[in-house]
Amino acid sequence: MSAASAPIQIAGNFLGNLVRRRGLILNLVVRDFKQRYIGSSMGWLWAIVHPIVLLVSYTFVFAVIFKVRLGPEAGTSNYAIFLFAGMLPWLLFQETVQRSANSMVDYSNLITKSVFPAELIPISIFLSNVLNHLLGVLILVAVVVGFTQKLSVLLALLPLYILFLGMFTLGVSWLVSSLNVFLRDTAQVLTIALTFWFWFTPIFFTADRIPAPLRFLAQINPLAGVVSAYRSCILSATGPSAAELASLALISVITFAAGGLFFRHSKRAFGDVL
Amino acid sequence: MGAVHIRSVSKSYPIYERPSARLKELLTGNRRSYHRDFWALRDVSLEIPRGVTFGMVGENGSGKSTLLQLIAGILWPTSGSVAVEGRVSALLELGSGFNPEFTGRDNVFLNGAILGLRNKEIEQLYPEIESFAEIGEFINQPVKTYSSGMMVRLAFAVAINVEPDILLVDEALAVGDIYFRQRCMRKIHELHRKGVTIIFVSHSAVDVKSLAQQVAWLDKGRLVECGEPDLVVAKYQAAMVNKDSQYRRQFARQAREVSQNAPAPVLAPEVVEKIPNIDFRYGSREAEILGITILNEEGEELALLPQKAPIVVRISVRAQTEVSMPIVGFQMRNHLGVDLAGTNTALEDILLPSFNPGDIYTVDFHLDLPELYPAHFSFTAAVANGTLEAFEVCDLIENAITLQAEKGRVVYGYLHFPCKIRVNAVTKAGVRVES
Repeated sequence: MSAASAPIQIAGNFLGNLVRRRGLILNLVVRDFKQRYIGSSMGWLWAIVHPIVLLVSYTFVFAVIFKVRLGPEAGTSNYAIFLFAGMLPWLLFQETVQRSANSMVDYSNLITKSVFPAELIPISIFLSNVLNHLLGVLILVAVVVGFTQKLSVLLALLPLYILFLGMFTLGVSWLVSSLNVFLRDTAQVLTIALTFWFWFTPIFFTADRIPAPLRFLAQINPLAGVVSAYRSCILSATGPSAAELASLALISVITFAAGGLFFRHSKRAFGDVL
Repeated sequence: MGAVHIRSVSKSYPIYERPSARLKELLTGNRRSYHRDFWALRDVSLEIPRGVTFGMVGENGSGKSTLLQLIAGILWPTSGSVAVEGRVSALLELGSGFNPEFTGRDNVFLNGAILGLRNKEIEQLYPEIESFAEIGEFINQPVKTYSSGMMVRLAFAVAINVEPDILLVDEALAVGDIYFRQRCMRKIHELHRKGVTIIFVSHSAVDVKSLAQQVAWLDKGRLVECGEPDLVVAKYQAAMVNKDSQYRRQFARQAREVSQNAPAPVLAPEVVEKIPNIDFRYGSREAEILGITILNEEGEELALLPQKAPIVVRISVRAQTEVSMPIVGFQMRNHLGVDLAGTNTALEDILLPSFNPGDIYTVDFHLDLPELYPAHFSFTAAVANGTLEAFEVCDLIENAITLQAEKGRVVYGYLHFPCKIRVNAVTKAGVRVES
């Protein structure tokens, strides 16, 4: 095996495994989804209620009370919609990473006592969150269409952006979930890091409001790229350039691969520690 | 179908002062050491051929469970390699792999998916699993409401019905009632016939001998012996008895003061000095077995065990030193290694006199044999020093003589008890008793 073919083979094995274990992934997703709403009489309908409440609250605070105005590059004059379009990808990222962090400990029963492919847990958490996320996107698109009576053709690119976001999110999730096995402080540090990350990502504001010397923060931040991409395809806002998209794709793939390899390496010791 | 190759496997558990030290070490690529080692397994090599039922014995902490976890792929060996061919289904601990919040049914599907089955396949197997577990309505209740017996029934039902190539069972059979245990035994035999490789840990010598074709004995993480079940289990038990003998001897001394029965009369012996077979022999040799033979009432040596007839088991022993409280006895086993029956002088309330060096004693056990399943039966002879409760083995020969039983009537199980039948009938013709 040549040096160049090794990573390809690893990636091939990995993807093949995902396809083979789709039954298990599906099972874990359903289980995760059910667990969230277990015992509640409305069940998964709560997944619709949450984004609507968020949207209504934003409208009240920012459109009614603060009367925030946006420039044309934002794609919409409605700040609540602008904010919501940015919040959606961020929430998908944050929830997946945060819940993944403790997932190895939560699933320790399965990991230490049965032959269990632990790397599938963050994937299932992500997919379960994607279900919620898509409901949110659907609500947002419905509201946008309701206001503007037009639908951007760029919306066809959304699955691609979700893929980039998913790869980046999974890479980070694998990293923090395996770290947390050895260092339970990881989950604490993560909460702090995510708070900073959130406020340094152009979600409440457009990227051009960042002073020029600090603008690199948005450039190296894949979440900034994703948020901007989301707004471009849902709100027809000025989107990321091709170069920015390319760097987003590159960072996502690298993070995905690095997180996956780190997980694969450290997972051997899970049985000893958990 | 599966086979397991274990090549000089060692497993050490690093003991860290702090959890973070482990990470530091992992990140530096194990170049520096931040821990002390505890060796759970040291240089163990085993070849488990496909289709074999393989038992593991050993004291607690000898590394049996660690070895199973390595085979299952839950742990990685520190050095050496474990190669497994085929799908592994593991029953490692009570309720392992179950989520307590979810129903039995959900957990069955999750476990099936973990083993790589499609939902469709699990749906096909589900009725079988449900009926084997026999937990009725509870299958739709959260697992946290289950009793430990119900949990192990469900876990076992899943593990054996998912059509594994290799089944690992870690002492799980100890839980559950006798009825369920018997069904598990039957199922294990059935899986064995289908060619499944079964690897199990048990503390029950009977289970190991009746199920396994090969047995490994582990002690403190090392493989002491691997081979034929009767032999390995005998050696293992011998080691356990020796370990215990110090403690037991103390009791024997106390018991001696209490015993005041008159010694039993010993008739002029017809010494037998022939030991047809020695599978394994151990003991202090304060007294030594000279020979064992099986006779009929007329004193003729038997080549076949008669059905439903009296026999004599004759054992001769010679004392090498003074043996203060000798006991002579035997244990009869069937072809599966199951201890069927046995007795000794102390159990029969016969108190032998103290042996002096050079004394030769011959003990005849007169037995009324019931009808037996026509198989091989072996007799293990032993002489010990002490009382029933506390003794030290002087000499013990495993399976010293083996005889085939005569073919007789059909026997259900291992033996047939003498039985009289009385029928009480109430019919139109009136009440009638036939016997």
